[in-house]
Amino acid sequence: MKILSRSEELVLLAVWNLQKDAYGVSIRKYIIEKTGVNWSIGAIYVPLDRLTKWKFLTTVTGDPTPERGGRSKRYYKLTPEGLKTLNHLRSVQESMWSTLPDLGWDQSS
Amino acid sequence: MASEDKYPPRIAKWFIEQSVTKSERDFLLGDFEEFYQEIRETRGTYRANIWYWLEAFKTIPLLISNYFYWRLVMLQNHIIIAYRFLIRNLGYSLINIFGLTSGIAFCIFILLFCLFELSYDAYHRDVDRTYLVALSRKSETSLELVSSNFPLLAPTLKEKYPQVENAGRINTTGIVHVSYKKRLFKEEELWYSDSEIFQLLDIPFIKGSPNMALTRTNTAVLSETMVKKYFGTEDPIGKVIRVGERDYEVTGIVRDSPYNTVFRYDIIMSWKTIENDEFMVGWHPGLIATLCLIKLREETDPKRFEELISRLPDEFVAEALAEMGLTYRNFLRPIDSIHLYSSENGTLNASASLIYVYIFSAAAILVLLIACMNFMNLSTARFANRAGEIGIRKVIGAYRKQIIWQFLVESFFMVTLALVFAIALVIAFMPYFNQLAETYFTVPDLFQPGIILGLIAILFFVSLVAGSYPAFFLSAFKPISIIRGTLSTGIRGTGIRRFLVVLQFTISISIVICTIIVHRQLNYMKTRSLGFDMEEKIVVTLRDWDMITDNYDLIKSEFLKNSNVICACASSGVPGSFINRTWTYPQNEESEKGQGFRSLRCDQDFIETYGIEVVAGRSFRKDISSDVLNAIILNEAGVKAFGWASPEEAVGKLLNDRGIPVVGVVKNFHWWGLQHAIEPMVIRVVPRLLRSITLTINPSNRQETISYIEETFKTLFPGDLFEYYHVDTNFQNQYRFEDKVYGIFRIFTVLGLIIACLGLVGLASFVTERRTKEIGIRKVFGASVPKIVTMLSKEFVLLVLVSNIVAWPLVYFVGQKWLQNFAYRVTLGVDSFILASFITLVIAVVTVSFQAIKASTRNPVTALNYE
Repeated sequence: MKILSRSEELVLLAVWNLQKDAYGVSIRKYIIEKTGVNWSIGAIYVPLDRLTKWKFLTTVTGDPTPERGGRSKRYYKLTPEGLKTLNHLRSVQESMWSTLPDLGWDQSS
Repeated sequence: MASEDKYPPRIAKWFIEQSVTKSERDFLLGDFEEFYQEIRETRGTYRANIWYWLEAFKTIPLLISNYFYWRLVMLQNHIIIAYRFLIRNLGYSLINIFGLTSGIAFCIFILLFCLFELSYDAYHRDVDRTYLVALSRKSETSLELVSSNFPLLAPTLKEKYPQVENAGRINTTGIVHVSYKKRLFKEEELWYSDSEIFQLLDIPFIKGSPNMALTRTNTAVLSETMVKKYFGTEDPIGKVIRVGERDYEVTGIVRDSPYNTVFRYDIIMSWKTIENDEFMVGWHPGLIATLCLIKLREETDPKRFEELISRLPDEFVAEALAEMGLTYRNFLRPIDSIHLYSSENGTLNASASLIYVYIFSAAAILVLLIACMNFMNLSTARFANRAGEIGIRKVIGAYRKQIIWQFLVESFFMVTLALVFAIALVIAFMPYFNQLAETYFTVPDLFQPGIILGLIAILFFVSLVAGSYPAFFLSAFKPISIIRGTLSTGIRGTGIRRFLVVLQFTISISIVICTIIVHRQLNYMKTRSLGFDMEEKIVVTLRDWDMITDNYDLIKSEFLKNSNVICACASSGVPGSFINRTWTYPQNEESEKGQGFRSLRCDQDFIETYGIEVVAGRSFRKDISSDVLNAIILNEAGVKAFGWASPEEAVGKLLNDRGIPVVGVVKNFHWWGLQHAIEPMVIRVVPRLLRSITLTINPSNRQETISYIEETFKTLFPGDLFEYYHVDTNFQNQYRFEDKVYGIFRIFTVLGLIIACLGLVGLASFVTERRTKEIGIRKVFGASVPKIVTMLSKEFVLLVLVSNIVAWPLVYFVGQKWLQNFAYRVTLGVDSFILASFITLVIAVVTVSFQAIKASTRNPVTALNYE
């Protein structure tokens, strides 16, 4: 199973989170909001392309909307494959976090 | 919200649009617009625009690298494929490239030649406002243009007309003996000139100053070659050379005159020397032997100035002109057009060569076109080998445009190769070409801008013309039919190929016929009876006009002492050389019948020595003393010019004011080459002004006789240079230009035929290859080899026949036009046409049947296993 990079993971999570409203602009907005860092356009679109190529995402062309100069949006949707990968990633991380020896810090900090 | 109407900058949008693929374009632009709107709302339109522009700029590097990268990748691929194809079909490719190479090489030569012709006198400073003031002489019956003018015209113009910035004059001397110490030679290119001439023509000085060199009497400027010839390594400045009868101090050295000028010089002498000579002072209608060059001021309109000075001769010689019934008018001739356009008589060596520039350019373009057609034919004929490749390319997703590009690149590749070979060929053949065309090209001449531009033009022209048809033809196949193998052998293709073959052969046949016509005309001119004998005659020219006076009989008898010298005569000129015109009229009828006649002065033996036939009256006789000076013999043209009905009627008529009687009329004979009509001529015995001695010699012991003549000459004229020439070679020299044309035409014919045949070879081999199976089956059923050969050749023979029909009327017109340049010409006979057709047909049949025989002698078993 593929281990994704952090930005890819974040993008996947964002797409899942936004559900039916996941397209370039909203995804970037969401990630910026959550991370508090200003992500460049390329930092979002490159992982999006890559994930699409790996079949973790599929694209759907939406209806044209007037506020975009009459252009349609490209919506992204998680594929079962993507979902599986995301779940796998999560389980990997959780198992690693859970078996972490106590380093003397409070986990909540 | 009004602000919602705001859109991102259009140009920036266009940049972004270009950098993304079609499928992504829509949504990405949409996204960008949304970002843009967001920024605009939070930070203002200005900021948003800047952001959008920045994003657009970011795409530029990508745009550029993409653009070049993918094109380079494809280019590389195309070149590799072209190279592989070339190697795999080496024979065919060599035929193709060789055709192009020879065509291009021919073009380069013609380009060199034409550029040289066009460059005549274009190199002078201010050439655009430098003119020769020429003269038109009109009488009631004739109009003559001469390049020379009055000797005093140049200073007068400079003095009286503020429009003239500078004016200078040139008097050429003709052949003169030049000596320094023991070195004695004949020189031809000598001038008398003012210092002003150096302001008008570019004559760079190596030593001495242009302003000072010619200010004193008896000074001269020498060209480098002359310095080397007479002085060797000695410093010539201040030394004295002898030219004709005068001594000159050398005051300067100038560079040799370039080849591309009509103003050729070896020695330039100061005008001061001859300033007070009898013929140089005053105005007289007969004294017009001086070239007058002027440079107009920049703001002067040449047309208006020409009008202004047009009637100038009337101011000085109006009365004399009226008496002679002549009108003189000045006109301006730009110096850079003298060589190409001028038809003036006179001292300048002008040939009006523009027509040949046209003819040769047309020839070059034709050869190039034949080579192009050849290329097209061969490329498309081989399409079967390429069809698979094109099919695969198309299936993979190549657009038609890309396939077109591929074949254009391929033709470009081949043409580049051909061009490189052509340049090598040109360098290798340059000496031969120089010899043939009497030019002086060297390898560095190939690198002048005109040639380089021409080469680039040829490269693109040939690549496009030769490559376009295969490109469009080959790219049009439907991949499915190629892969299924249902591709018919390009039925459309054969039609066009046939057309190309016909066109190619039409051109080739035309060229062949033209060459035959040129050959016939030249042959005719060289062999036609000229009306006088020129075999075994040698001519000795004396140093000056006054060397034979009344002693001519004595001089002749010295030569005649040798029994191998059969006849001798003295004259002012011999056929093929220049003689003057003189104003001639029947007594008391000057204004009605006055005309310029060619004037020949000779002794009583001239007519007999040259074997000229007397048709009425008698020849000059020694026992009649009045024949000296007081008798005239006319030619038939002269009789006709005065409107007399028969030669007999002319005898006894009195000419000119002095009333010199016509004692005889001779049959017309050609004084000049057959380009020129025979002019009216007066022949008189004048014991002065004889300069050429003609000696008829016995052809056996020629060498001995000539050395005898040399010895005699040296005892008669001690210290003078002995030089002789044959009348016949001298006369044939007049056809040098035509010979040159013929020489170039011959190459042209051979090339045209070779290239056309190469095309035929390619085509024939292709056709036989396509029909291999058919031939095999026919043989199995019992067809004989000759039958198959006939079957295969039939089509091509038919094509060549069709070409003939097209070519004939075409050439007929062109040939007629060309022949009109000659006063005496051959008639255009059907035989030339039939001969040319026969030649081309034979060549075509041989070429094709060679292929056909190869195909038909193959074992049918291998043929049937083929494919």
